[in-house]
Amino acid sequence: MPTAKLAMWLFLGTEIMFFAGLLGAYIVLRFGQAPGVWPTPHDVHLVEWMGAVNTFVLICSSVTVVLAHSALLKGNIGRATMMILITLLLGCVFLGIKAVEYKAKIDHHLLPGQVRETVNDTYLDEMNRRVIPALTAVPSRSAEQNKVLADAEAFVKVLGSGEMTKVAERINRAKALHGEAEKAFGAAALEEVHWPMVIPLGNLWSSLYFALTGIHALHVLGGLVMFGLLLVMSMMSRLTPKHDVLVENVGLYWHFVDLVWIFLFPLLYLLG
Amino acid sequence: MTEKLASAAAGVGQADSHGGEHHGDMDAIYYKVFGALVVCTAVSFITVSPLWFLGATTGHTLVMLVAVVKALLVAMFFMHLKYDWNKLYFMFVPTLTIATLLPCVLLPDITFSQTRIIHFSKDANAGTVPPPAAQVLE
Repeated sequence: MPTAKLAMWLFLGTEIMFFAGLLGAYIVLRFGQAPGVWPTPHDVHLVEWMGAVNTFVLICSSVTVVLAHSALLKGNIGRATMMILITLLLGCVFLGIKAVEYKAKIDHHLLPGQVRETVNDTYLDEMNRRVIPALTAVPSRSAEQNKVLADAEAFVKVLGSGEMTKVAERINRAKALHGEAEKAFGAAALEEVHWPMVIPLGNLWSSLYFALTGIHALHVLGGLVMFGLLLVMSMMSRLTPKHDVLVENVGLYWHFVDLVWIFLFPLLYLLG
Repeated sequence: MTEKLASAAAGVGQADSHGGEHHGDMDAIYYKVFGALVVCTAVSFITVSPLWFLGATTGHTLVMLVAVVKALLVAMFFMHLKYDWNKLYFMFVPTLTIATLLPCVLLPDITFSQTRIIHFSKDANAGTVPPPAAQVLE
C-alpha cells in the first residue's frame, strides 16, 4: 500500500474519532430527553425530502469520484476530468441545498441562543411589545374596548408575577384575549401581533444542528477545494495515470464525508 | 495473527502501482453499489412517509440498520476496504471499537436521565414546565 494512502487512512481514523465524539454527544443529549420534548423536524423547519435529496447527491458524487479514479487507471484522462468536474458540481449542489436549509433556520430565528423556549417570556414580550401598544393606540375607546385593555394589562401583570403556573392556562388565556381584542378593536388592530413559536430545547437542538452540519459542510468545502485543484492540474495537462493514488486519496476523503452524512441524515431528519 | 500483522506491515508503505492491478475493472460493481445505496435511501425515507405502517420504533430501528448497511457498502466497495482490509484492520479495529464504545459509555447518562424524566412528567402535569413544541395562535 502506498505510504500516502496509509497516511490518508490514518487521517481518516482521527476524523472517525472526531465525528464519533460529536455524534455521541448528539445521541446522549437527544435520547436523554423526556419523550415528546425534543423538537420534531416540523417544529424546526427541517424538510425530510431535502435531506434525502442531499443524501442522493452525495451518493452520486461518491460514484463519480470512484469512476474518475477508475478512468484515470485506464489512462482516460478526459473521462476522469469530467467525473471530477461532476463531483465538484454535485458537492456545490449539496452546499446549495444546505444553504437553503440554513436560510430557513435564520429566517425563523432558529439559531443558538435565539429560540424562545418558555411560554412566559415569549407571551410577556409579545404582550408588551405588540398587544398593549396596539390597544392603547386607539384614541377614544368604547367601554368594551376599555375592558379588553384592562384584561390585557391584568394578563401582563399575571405573566410577570408568575402566578399563572399552568402552561395550558396561559396559552388559553392568550388565545381568548386575542379573540376578544379582535372582536372589540377589529382584526386590523392586531395584524402585527404574532405569537411566536415556542420550542422547548430549541436552543440545544439548534446548537447541535449547526455544530454537526456546519462541521460536515466545512469538510465538504475542503473536498471541493481538492477537486478544484485536481481540475487545475488537469487543465495544465499535469494529471496523469501516475496520480492515481492522489485521486484515490481525495476520493477516500470524499467517501468519508459521504459516510458521515449517511449517519447525520437519519439522526437529524428521520428520528425526530 | 503474528503472520497477519507482519504481512500488514510489509504491505504498508509499498509504493506499488495498486488500483486496477488487484481490483480489476470495478465500474460494474460501482454501479451496482450505487443502485443499492439509492434503494437504501428510499427505504429510509419511506419510514417517515404516510406509507409506513409498522410503527415508529420499527421505523427508527430500520433507519439505523439501513444507515449501517449504506456505510458498509461505501467503505467496502467505494473505499476499497474489501480489498485493503488485511492491510488496514490493525488500524480500524481499535478505531471503530472505540468510536462505537464512545456513545455506549455515555448511555448511563441516558439511563439515569429517566429519573429526571419522571420528575419532568410530574412537573409537566403540574404545568410548571413547557409542553412539547407547539405553534400557538398564528
